[in-house]
Amino acid sequence: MNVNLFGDKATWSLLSRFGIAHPFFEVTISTVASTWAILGILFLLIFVFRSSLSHKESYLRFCVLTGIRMFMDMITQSLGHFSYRHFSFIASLFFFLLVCNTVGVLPFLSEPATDLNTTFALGLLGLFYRDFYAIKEHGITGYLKELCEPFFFMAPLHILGKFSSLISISFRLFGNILAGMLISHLWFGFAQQYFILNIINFLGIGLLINLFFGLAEGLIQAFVFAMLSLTYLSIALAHEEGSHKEDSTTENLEKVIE
Amino acid sequence: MTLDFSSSLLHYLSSALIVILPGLGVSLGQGFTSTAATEALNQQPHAYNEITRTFGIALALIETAAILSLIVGVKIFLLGSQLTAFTHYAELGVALAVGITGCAAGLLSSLPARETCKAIARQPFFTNKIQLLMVITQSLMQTPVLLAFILSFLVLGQIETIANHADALRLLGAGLCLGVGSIGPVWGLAQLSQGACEGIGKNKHAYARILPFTIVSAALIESAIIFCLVISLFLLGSKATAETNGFMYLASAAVMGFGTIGVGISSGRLTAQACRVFSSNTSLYPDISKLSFFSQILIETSAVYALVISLFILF
Repeated sequence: MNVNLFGDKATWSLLSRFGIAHPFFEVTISTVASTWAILGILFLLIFVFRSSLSHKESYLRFCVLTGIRMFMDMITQSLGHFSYRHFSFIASLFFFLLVCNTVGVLPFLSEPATDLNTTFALGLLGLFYRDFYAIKEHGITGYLKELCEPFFFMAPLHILGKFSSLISISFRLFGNILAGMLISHLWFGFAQQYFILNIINFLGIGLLINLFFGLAEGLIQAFVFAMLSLTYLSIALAHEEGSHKEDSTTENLEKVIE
Repeated sequence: MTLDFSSSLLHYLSSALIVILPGLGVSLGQGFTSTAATEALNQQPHAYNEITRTFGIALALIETAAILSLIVGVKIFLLGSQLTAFTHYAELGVALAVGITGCAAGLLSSLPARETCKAIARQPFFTNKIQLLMVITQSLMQTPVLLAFILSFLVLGQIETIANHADALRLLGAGLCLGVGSIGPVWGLAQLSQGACEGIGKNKHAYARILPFTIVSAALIESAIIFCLVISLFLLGSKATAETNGFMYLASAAVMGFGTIGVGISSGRLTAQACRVFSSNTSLYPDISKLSFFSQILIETSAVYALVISLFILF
């Protein structure tokens, strides 16, 4: 029952040709390979959904439209207005993570989120995105003024808060997906030792465990990650609700979908 | 400095603690649930079938903690007391992890069950939905027990490779971190699920609002436990040499474990209050949920500080 936790993953030194062999520049091969596979799966899914939109009265079209509309409502509720740019960012985060966290059900692929590099990268993406838009909305002076909110010596605390949000969001995803992966690996390793457990596994218990910890946990965690990114974004973009023009009526949503 | 206990004392103590602590929590929880079910029957005698069905499901779910800890206890007992002297610290770590989480989960998962019995006595025709909510929240509260169960197998897998004192303290810390760290979040989850069941019991139209809110908030509260699990796994993954001071591992585990207690409790109180507000006024949902997520993020910052400090201690 030996589960390989952190070490011994095959890595590739990026800059070894130039004589730099620091572990910082090492690339984990399985993570990169799985991420490319996920991008391929996502591309196929987008192709299928896109073609379903041209068939009126198909079930898939209804499902796609309902899902997109739910997401739009979420964006409208937390930002105060609908913005196509933020919607596409949050939705692409969600769908990428959804496929990411459920890909462990397939053979030969491992979830990229069990590697801290992936979750940190996604967290950094959200951090830079919301700071970029905060600067764009308030101007660089307004952004700096907000950092020194009550008094100027509170600025280090605000900067620390930014990094704490990064750490919390990335470690949450990492730990949850890692725990799910560990549970299913331990169960399958345990079940291989006994004949009766093997039979029970084939009867469907193994599938159930995989479905619960792969699909349900993955869905919830992807949603929580997207939701938290959205909440951080809406904190960063606050104070400008009145100035923005309202374009969030339901007819407009239909127009955007089409 | 080494702790001077007789090693066989630690061995038997840990195999006893691992069954006694969850047993205490589970039996108290089942008692509270049965009392609430009796009161509910007194209020609404016609709902006999619904209440007994709910009550049975709740008791079975509460029992999970006791069964899982029994399995680990038997496994620890069968390891025998004649291993190397340091092994027994690791056994004590497993006992703390499974024992404390089992005790907390067993005792506190009776709160939603009690509230569900009252809610069914109030609205017998809405039993299915209330029951579903209770099963979801109670199984969310059993997650730390499951995590401790897994962690115990990982620790027991490493137990034969223990070479020195620091290595044994490392495994003790891995158990301690998850065990102590799950008290607060489990308490918070219990308060949240109590608030959710109470809200649905008072206003059944709030169901569509409360269910998604409960699931997302539970995932947020549970992330404190996940931080503890991450530290425990880091402890399991690190290697101790003969020069390492083992108390470094214990300190790192203690920082993370005690850092989550306040976070879990206050997040739970906040979200429970939000659920009560939804039941009295459904139209407030967007504002209140936004406010609740804001504050939960702010509350969670202190757990993140604890995580950072314990990572600093560790590396």
